[in-house]
Amino acid sequence: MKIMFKQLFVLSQLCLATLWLGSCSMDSSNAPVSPGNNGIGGSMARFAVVGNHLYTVNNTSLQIYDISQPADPIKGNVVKLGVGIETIFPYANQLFIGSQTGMHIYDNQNPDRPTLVSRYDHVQSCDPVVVQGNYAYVTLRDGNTCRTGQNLLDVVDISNLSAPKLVQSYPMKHPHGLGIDGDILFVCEGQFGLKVFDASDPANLVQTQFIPGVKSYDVIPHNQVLLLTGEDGLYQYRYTDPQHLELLSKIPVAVQ
Amino acid sequence: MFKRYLSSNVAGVIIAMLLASLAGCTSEPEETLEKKEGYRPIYMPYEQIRQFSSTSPRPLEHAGKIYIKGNYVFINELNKGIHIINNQNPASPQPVSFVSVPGNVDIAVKGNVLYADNAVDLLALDISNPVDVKLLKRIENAFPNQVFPPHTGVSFECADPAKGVIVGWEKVMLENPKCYR
Repeated sequence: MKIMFKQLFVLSQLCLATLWLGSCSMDSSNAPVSPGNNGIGGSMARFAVVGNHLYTVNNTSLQIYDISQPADPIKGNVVKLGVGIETIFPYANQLFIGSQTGMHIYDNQNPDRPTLVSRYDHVQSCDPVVVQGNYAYVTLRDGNTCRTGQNLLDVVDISNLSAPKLVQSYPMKHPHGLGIDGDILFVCEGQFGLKVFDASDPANLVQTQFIPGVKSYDVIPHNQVLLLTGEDGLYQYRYTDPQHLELLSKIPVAVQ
Repeated sequence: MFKRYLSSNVAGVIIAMLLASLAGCTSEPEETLEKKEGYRPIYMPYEQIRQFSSTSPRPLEHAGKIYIKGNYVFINELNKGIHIINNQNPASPQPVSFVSVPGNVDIAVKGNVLYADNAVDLLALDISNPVDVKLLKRIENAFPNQVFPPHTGVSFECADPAKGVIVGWEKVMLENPKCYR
């Protein structure tokens, strides 16, 4: 009995630990979409749910909705962000906003009124961002709607939120979405494929695998399974071994 | 004191004008019957946009963003809606249903409620029964209409949001286009 309690405790702690990632894997299998926890979005998202708030970003601003009654979202404050806003990634007490001119960090301790802490600026590019621990990972991409950017992966030290500092810049081919789980970083290279990195030392990322055939747009790594979307459909890979991702399934797009 | 107020006010107006020109339309100098290549908005009437239905699964065509909630995966079908997939076994994901939401690109979930953009509107959808998704609430005009084309250095026919939601831009020959970006 005692052991069982201990196991339950450990299990619940594990669930709590993964809460920030969204759902706990204890969801009962046959149930409908389980109530309770929030879900997990990808790095290209313009919507984010944090607690009782839904945040949506458009090109210039952040709109806040009160969703304490989920069925009845109520329009709240608008925060002007600037121009060329593209993505939002919530992490800890912050909102990380990807824009065409850089990454904006907003403090979210008062969820109705996020306040600007700092900005990390760079050349004009399209750039989603994901965060883990003391580091933010930002991809910069050139292209028609992305101004005259470069193709890079920037690793930014955010241990001091008011002074984000570039740790290292890595050349990329044409990066889109990205995702990180523990020491494994996934970067979508668009038409070129998917790259997997060992990120145990963020200042010295080591590529562990490159899967060239997979046209990738965005990824979500979760519970050892990587979800990947792209031009060809939805792929799922087990990444227990980051050197050899195991393809579990693919839902292809319809032949047109 | 008054003078300072006046000058800061003038500066404000100038900044506002600069911002307006950055944000979209700037009028071009008038010329007589000038034909040039540019972009024309493609409108979809509001009543056509504001249609919602929960249907049987359909094939993926243009997979957009993804979202995970419990055992379910939601995949945006670019500008058309949301595929709901039961992903209890990632080796064999099972399509459950398709939610038709014109103009949809983004999704997020809290509890049993899925939030989705429906072009300019925000929808709250009840997904407690994923084969029969129901509309709980619509917030009209939650998002701005895209009143300029996704290109810079181009002429375009000025958008008229009264005609509907702008769902795209086509490249055509325009007579005296009044807008430039």
